[in-house]
Amino acid sequence: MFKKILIANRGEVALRIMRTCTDMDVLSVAVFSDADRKSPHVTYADEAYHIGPPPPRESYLNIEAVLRAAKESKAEAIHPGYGFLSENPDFAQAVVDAGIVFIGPTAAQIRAMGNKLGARRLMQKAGVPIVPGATVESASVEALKKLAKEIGYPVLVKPASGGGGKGMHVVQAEEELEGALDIARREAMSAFGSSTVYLERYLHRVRHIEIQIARDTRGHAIHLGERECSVQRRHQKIVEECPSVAVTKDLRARMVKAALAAVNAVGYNGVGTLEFLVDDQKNFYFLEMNTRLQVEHTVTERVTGVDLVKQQLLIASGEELSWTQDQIKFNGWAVECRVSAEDPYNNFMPSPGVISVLYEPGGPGVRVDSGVSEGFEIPVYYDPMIAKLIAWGRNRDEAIRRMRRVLGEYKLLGIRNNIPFLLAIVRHPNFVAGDLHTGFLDEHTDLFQQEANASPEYAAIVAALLEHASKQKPRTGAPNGANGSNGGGAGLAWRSAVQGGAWGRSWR
Amino acid sequence: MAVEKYRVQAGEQWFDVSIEPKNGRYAVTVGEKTWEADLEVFTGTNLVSLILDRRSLKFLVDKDGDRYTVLRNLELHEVRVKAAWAAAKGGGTAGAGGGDLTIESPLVGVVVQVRAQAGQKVEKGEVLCVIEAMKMQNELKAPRAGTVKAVRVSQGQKVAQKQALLLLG
Repeated sequence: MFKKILIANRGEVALRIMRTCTDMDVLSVAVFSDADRKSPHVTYADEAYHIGPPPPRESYLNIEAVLRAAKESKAEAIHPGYGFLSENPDFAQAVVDAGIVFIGPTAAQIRAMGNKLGARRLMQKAGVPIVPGATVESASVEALKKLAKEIGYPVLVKPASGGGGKGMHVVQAEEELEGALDIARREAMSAFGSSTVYLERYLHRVRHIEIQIARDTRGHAIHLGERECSVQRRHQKIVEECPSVAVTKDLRARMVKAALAAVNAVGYNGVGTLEFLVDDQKNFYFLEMNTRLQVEHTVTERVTGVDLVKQQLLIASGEELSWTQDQIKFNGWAVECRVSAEDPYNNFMPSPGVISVLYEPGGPGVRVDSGVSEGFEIPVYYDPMIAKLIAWGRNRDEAIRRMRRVLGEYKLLGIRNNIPFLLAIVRHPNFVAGDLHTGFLDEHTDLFQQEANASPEYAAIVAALLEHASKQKPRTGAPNGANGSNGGGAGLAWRSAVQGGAWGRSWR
Repeated sequence: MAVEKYRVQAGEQWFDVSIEPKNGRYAVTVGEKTWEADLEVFTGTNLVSLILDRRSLKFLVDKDGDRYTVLRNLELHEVRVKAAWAAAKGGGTAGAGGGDLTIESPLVGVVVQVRAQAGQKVEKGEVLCVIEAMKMQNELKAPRAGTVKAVRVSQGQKVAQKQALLLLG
């Protein structure tokens, strides 16, 4: 096993990977941009190296800077996390060329599976059903219209080398096709550096269900069951669970067989996820493969007890997986909610800023994977997701009830966040009934309505009393007002996280 | 000590709150109701305990000038407190009871579009300007109907968080 690895990522996933490192007595090296100097992943790591200014291109996507930090720290391997460089085959190759181990599949495997079109062809060859569709790299508009007609409207225009739901457009009718292709190509070019897009039939009322697999360099492959991620907003997952109410024993067996056949066919090394759409007739269609750790891997870990990051480290160091298929048992139900710094009642406007108050949930059956702490300023440059809350129960009902408690216990001030929206989802009768499909949020627009506050009077009283107290004995030399300072007074000892830029809470 | 009066805006509602020190506590009056109130901030935290008569209420409170963010259970309240005399004079940017409203930028970003002009009447929910941040274009909508009294930014301008963008009358 490695003695020291570098984590080429930030926030909650970097911290999550480091925790497994500590469990395994592997030293962890963090990298950080100027915006993340006080980030919990930096304060937690055994070592940390500055790699550049806040914009991702100049830091977390800067291959040269990441490799330099790896060499300086003498890290033996690099874990890319998810997002950023995690599915960039050039990075995987550059790491290997620098004499460092890439914790993930080979560059060739990323190229084969990470490119949506290549993966579709491979899957078709392995006998896995795929969503009807076609490449549209250099076809004329007329030819495309013909193709789209064959596929059948509505069609989805998707970037071939995309991910995370970016650059995807639903086209309802022929007259919208040309415009959507133009936009999608431009977006694909700026986001992924390739303008290749493809058409896929847009399936209605289908579930997003994915299979987690792991395969070591000795050809030993296992599956860890399914996750359902049908609750999505603009193709971004928000609530995920393991297992899925829709997956019967027979369906699971068929999906797992297809997933394992596919990874065995390409000799895949690493953990990975095969994403499928499942219709109400229990037909499944391959969507894409993610050749990395996924955000929602936590629910699988909670139900199986398998540490997926540990398996990644074992595979990358040439060791065997620590589990055989027979040893994997599925115990109970887990639900994950993604907490983000967005205002759900203002068109999901990002809300960067300083976290002045943070109370995280605890108690039985709860896991919190957080990337922020009190006093930390959420940068404007990165993804607005700040934490993942995971609740476990013996069955789905218990897990959902527990999730409601967990969301209620999570208290955050200083920035807007989506906790009330998440609570509305896990309280929604259709969610509780397991009546899910990828259009769930579009269909239930009531979830986007803010509930009126029931007791503004108490809030008015407490604010008036605090204002009154602060005016009686103003703190000398620090008057209230202009710079928005926390004026203490009359025995009110305010903590000044906002103005003081308090250091993030460190766990070690 | 004398009675101090405050005009308090919590969300879209207004309250007149009178506070009178009494036996080391306060007599708090809102409208027709009066409570005996005791307030304590847990030292070094933002946790506030309020006892109204015998009922204990807990809040998490964040303060920025005269603006308070109050979290009670799952309810988030945006509260502004003005001394009654100042509110009567229309002092401060918020003014009293439905005066002018400064529209501030909720985030650091770049103004990519200004859709409203000075003098223009706008409806609640109408897009006033578009700010790009976190690689997303964010539409800033009018929180209420009114007339745009002034536009303080222009297209292409970088804006800081809480920077004044427009004045809505």
